[in-house]
Amino acid sequence: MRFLPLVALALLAGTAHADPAVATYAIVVGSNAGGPGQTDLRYAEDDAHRVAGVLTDLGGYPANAIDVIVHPTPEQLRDHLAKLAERVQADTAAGRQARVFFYYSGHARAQGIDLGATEMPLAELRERLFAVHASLTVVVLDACQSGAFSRIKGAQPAADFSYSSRQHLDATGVAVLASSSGSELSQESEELKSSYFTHHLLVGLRGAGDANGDGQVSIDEAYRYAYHQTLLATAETAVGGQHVTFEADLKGHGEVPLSYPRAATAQIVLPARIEGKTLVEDRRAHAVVAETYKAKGTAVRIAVAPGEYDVLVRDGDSLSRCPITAPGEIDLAQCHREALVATSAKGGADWDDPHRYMVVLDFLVGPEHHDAYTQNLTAFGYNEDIAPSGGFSLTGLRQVYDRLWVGGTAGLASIPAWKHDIVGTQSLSQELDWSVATAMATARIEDHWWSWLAYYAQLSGGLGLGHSALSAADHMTYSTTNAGPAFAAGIGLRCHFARFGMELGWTYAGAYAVKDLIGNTHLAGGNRLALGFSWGF
Amino acid sequence: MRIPTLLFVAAAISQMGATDCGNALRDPGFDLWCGDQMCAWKVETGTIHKVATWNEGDPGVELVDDGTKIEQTSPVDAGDGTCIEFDLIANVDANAQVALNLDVYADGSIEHTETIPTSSWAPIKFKLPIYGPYRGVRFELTKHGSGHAVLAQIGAKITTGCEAFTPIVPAPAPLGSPCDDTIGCSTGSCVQTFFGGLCMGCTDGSCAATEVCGASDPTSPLRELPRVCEPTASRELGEQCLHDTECASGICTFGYPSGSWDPGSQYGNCSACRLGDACGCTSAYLDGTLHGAFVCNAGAHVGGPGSACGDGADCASGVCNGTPRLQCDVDGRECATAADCPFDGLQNTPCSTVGIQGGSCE
Repeated sequence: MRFLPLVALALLAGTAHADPAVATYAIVVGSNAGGPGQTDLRYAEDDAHRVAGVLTDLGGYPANAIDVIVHPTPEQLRDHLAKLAERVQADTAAGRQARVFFYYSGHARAQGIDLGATEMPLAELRERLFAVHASLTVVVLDACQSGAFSRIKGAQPAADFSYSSRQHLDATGVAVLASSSGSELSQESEELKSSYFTHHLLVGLRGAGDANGDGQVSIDEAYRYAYHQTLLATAETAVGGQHVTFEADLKGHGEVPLSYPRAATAQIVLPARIEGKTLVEDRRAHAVVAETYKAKGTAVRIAVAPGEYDVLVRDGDSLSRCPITAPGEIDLAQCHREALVATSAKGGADWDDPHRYMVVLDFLVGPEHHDAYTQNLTAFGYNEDIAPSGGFSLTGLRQVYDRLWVGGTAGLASIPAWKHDIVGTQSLSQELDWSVATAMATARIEDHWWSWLAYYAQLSGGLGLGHSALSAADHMTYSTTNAGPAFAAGIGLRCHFARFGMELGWTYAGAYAVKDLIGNTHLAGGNRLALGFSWGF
Repeated sequence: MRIPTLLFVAAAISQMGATDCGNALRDPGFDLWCGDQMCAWKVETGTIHKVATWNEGDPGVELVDDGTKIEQTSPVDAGDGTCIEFDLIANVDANAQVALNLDVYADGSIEHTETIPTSSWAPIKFKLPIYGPYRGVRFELTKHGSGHAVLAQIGAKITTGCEAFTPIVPAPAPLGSPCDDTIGCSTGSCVQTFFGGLCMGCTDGSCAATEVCGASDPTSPLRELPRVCEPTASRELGEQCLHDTECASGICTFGYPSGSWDPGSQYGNCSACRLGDACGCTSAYLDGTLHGAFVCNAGAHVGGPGSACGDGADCASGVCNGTPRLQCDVDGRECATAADCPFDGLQNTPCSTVGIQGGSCE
């Protein structure tokens, strides 16, 4: 990676915040739509709005100078760029310099950005940006070739847009910040509801990236912050670490500030004593507005909108929740410990964090398996209750690799009673009530069709305990408990919304755990319809 | 005490189903145990043990000794059906021989023997047709040899589909049993009645001058009252009767005039007076089909020494000498316990005291 020394345009950038002689414009583009063979992204368009918000709040960009374009066609983007060029041309004619911020979040390939089904060639985008003739052009590209690891696996991704963009957009007065290196793929996070890169870039711009504490975040500081935080956040994902790249060809001296968090109307101050992974959550919107690793020893200011927030600090195995009203500084006395929750989930179509857990409660119903044991019961005059077998199972799973989950299942099933009346008596009968408890190790492979709908195949094996109780004619109850191997295999569909999910599937479950005295062992179980509820965390 | 309602016992026996939902045997699974004996099966000879089968709580019976026999008499009759399907589950060693004997009419003559093959809890099924009209079958299970023989189940269900099998033709029927020209009667003759052929030892007017065609004691719930020629006035107080002339007292309360008896009629009791006589004539035992001897001032403790009595309460002394009489509620047969009185739906009916037979006050 080539890293050019930054030459700041201090006059230009430094005055951009307040100097009316410098016109500031931003074109912010977000497009969730995937091209051929690509899965739709989930948060690219939301990210565009967030970027626009930060530029307005902290970047010194007038709201009417920010052009947010969502899901555009190439023609629409060309029109917006052309209009921008006209405005800059007018500014130049009026003796004003122009600063342009261009942001794109969406799919890309080696030769272009994918605006839905149509591609806009990189060369054209470059030429049109150059044609604006701004004094300073900052290009931020958050391009993702695929949002799903499952789609990536086994594929040969083409060169990343960020790589191509560096080659094509290097030019005087241009700085390019790209979300990943040329051989990497950019990722989204379901928990952050954003791409990793854009999220951390914005957190940096809110103040977390202000390394020198001068109250403004330069493009250099923003890059360093986004680079480290994005790499940290993606290092353990299935896709792998994501390296933010930055290249610039700038003339001048001094730094190029991108945001001015000190000037924000509200800030949250993370005290110097805090250390650990820190999450700032908007309490009312239930949205993460900042996530950073807070080092001990230095206070950090994060610019946010005024309001109620929770700051969650995780240090090792401990998690503290600190309520705070912005603007303000966290009062550590108000913090309280909580159980560990919330890791991240991959946007698009797949989970991307292997440290995920899921609990599934299934209710099972189906006809009981018939074998020599039940034939023997019939021969002895017993009749099967018409009710089906039924029960439930509780499965705890941990995602260990992409689509693979492992864990354990505990289940309890009740088998229909078998009964026979004693001929020649008016009320005497014998009834066999039985049930089976199982404890099994479980492996599940789960993949998504859509972001909310997954299909799975599950296999379990372990131990079953069969309990039978015969209410005999002598009014005594004869109980028997046997142990034996148990197994279950099933397939199904699971739909989920946030953490909660429902699943419907078929399972064949059995346990060789019910025995009689004459050598028959019942495979307790059979085909089961499974209706379940899942909870991910 | 209420006025007795007399049942047409014989008609009931012949017309009502004598099985439990088509099952001819009570407790086919040997599940009912009264202590160390089976409640529904009687041990004729040998020793039995209660043993576990597929489950400790579902017992079977082990025929222990060489020559052990157990039996159960079923009131199944031709009205229920003539095709019986047996289903057995047994665990029989190779050196044990187990057989199922069928004694049609339960008169002691074995008409058919089916050998139970050596098996280890494998279900066995077979069908046997019985030539009708029959009433009652005694099922007998025997074991010979030293090997183990455990029976877990012997179902006998009335069914159809026996056309392919040669029917069991019963031996000539005993008195009181239905009959036809093929079966015939072991004694007496097959007399056509309203209900069909019935083995009778006599008919009214067929006996000698010193005899009467009366009713001897019932011998089985499966049979009508046996009609035989009896010496005139030979039955003592409290005994069953049909005609006054059978009784030493000359009175057969609830009896029928000579010539009117048919198999649907009931029996009476030899008594000292008739119901309605102006002497307080009644019986200390009068409930439904049960009745003892009718005596004057019954239950009033006024009978002097030697007075006819049916119960101690009839006597001033409080003691009525004679033979205590117990009989099955349902058919009047002498009995000792309820096990002697199987009848409706294979269930045992009560065996009740009906007073003193041949009683006289002390």
